[in-house]
Amino acid sequence: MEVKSESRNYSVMSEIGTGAYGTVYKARDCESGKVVALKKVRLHTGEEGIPMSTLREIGLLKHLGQLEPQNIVRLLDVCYGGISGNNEMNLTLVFEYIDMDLSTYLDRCPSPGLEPSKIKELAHQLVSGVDFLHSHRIIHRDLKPQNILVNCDGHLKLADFGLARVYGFQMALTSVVVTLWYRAPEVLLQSQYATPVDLWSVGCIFAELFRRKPLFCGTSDVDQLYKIFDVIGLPLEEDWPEVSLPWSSFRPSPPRPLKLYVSDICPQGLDLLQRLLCFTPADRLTATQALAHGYFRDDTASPSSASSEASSSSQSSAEGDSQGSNPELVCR
Amino acid sequence: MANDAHWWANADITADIYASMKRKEEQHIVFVGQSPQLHLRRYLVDWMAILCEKFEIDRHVLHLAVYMLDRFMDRYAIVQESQLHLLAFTCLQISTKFEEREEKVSKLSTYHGQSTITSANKEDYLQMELLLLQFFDWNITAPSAAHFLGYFLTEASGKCEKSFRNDYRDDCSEYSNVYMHKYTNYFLEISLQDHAFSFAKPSLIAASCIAASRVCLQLSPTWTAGLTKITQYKWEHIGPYIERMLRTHDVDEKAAKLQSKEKTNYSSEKTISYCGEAAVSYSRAL
Repeated sequence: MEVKSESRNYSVMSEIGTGAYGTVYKARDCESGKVVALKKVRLHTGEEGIPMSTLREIGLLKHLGQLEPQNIVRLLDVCYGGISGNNEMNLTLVFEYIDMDLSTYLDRCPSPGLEPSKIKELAHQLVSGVDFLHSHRIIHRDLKPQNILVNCDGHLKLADFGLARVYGFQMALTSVVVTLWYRAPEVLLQSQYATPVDLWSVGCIFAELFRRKPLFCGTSDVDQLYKIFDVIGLPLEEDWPEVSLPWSSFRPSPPRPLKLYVSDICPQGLDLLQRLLCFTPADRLTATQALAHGYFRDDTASPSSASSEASSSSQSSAEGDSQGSNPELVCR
Repeated sequence: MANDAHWWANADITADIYASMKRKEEQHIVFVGQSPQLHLRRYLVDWMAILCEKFEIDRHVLHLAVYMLDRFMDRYAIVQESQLHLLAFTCLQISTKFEEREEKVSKLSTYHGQSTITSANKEDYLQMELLLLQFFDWNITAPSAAHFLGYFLTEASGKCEKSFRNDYRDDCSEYSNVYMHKYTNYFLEISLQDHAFSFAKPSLIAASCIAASRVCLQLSPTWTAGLTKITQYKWEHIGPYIERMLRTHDVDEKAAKLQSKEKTNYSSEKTISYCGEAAVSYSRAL
């Protein structure tokens, strides 16, 4: 199979996966020999034009791509296929190819899991990517390990902008998005939400980097809330937003130490996690604040401070030289 | 959105977003105003505004749609009026898909009777959509005057700039803010109707809307150091646009007066003529 655009040809190598609105292939740019990922979207001329998710994904990535962001997947090209006999046409999005998603990356990681320095490096890139989006008026809204891509060398990039959208200065958003397990409480409660939803997802994913399994695995919206409150505790009644689900429908539960769920985490990391998994969106750290958190600063400022973290001392001494001393390394 | 109205106001991203919008505005496609159908533009924009009102679509959407319409008409001569309708409608639909909440994005069939779009020419619609998106190289994140106005207003009231609010009584600030929003929205609408405003940068139009509103609300001085700092525009930048906005406002006001006079004469009951919103608000504020 070949896909042609005005400028380039791509030859398909293998299928990577099928999503809600198309299939993703691994392919080669016939001219440069570079490996790319093709996302094929089928358009039916009898339907509603270009699907909203495709329009947003291309529009946002075109907007961001000019700025060459470090931690956002690069959209290289958009190709059109003409209308065929069955009134269908193809739109192909050409992305840079990245080895795997974070979910696969964690699955493949042998016991006892990722080294603390590696986790820090991934978390920093994740927060940097989110910070970049937010400062360009974009909320991702569907952050999860399956939408985060990682190269063999550990370079992390956010992908899948089908649910992302731009936001205005005097605009709050409603309606439900984001895969259940990474959904913020305000989304589950169908309250209004904004950029903090992405930081909740970041918190869940940060915990997952240590655990190598999800933190809150609910089976429904309400069950997801139960699971969350089991850990962070039921919020105070006065902090409950005006939503249809009453505060009284949840049984009171005190917060439990997060350390019980994320045992390998260092004190600074634990503090960061706690500040991300805040029930009240306004109390949650913003991406910029998270980047300035001590967790990201301490071992980059001086190589020795990393080893002061009791839980990570053994690994960091082995890893210290390559990661600890150079702050640039973390976000490259 | 009472609770969340200023969810971002304390966030450090505000400055970043503003910087990103300013940068983006510099990359806007320049408006030349050379379309042979320019005389039909006002009619198309009004029609789009009516659709937005009817379907409760956010004004940011309309502004983006008009941006697209202007640039496309500038470079493509479309002779048939039905095609122009299709173009205006497609601009609006792309913009809605991009900027609005998911639930606000209506199916094409919703617009039956509102436009020339029928199931028979969905293919034409798709072709137009692709043509437009290719023309813009899919780069449709164009910040509009509505975006900048939101930023300026919240910055100004957030910083509690004294003269921005009512100078006369402290407890009037809420009240005068309401009028400020009403007037700025009115001038924002004017800026869409008249293509002369399409030549200017959206941030400049937004600043001019604030100044023109202050003139109407008789807030003195019209342009303060604080507003100059927030908007990065001086009086000499905004002057010509304010003048044009206020001229339109005068025409609108006279038309309203005339209309109400005709009504009064007809019913011959009340002798008080309509004195215009500006005067009303001013006397109340005092």
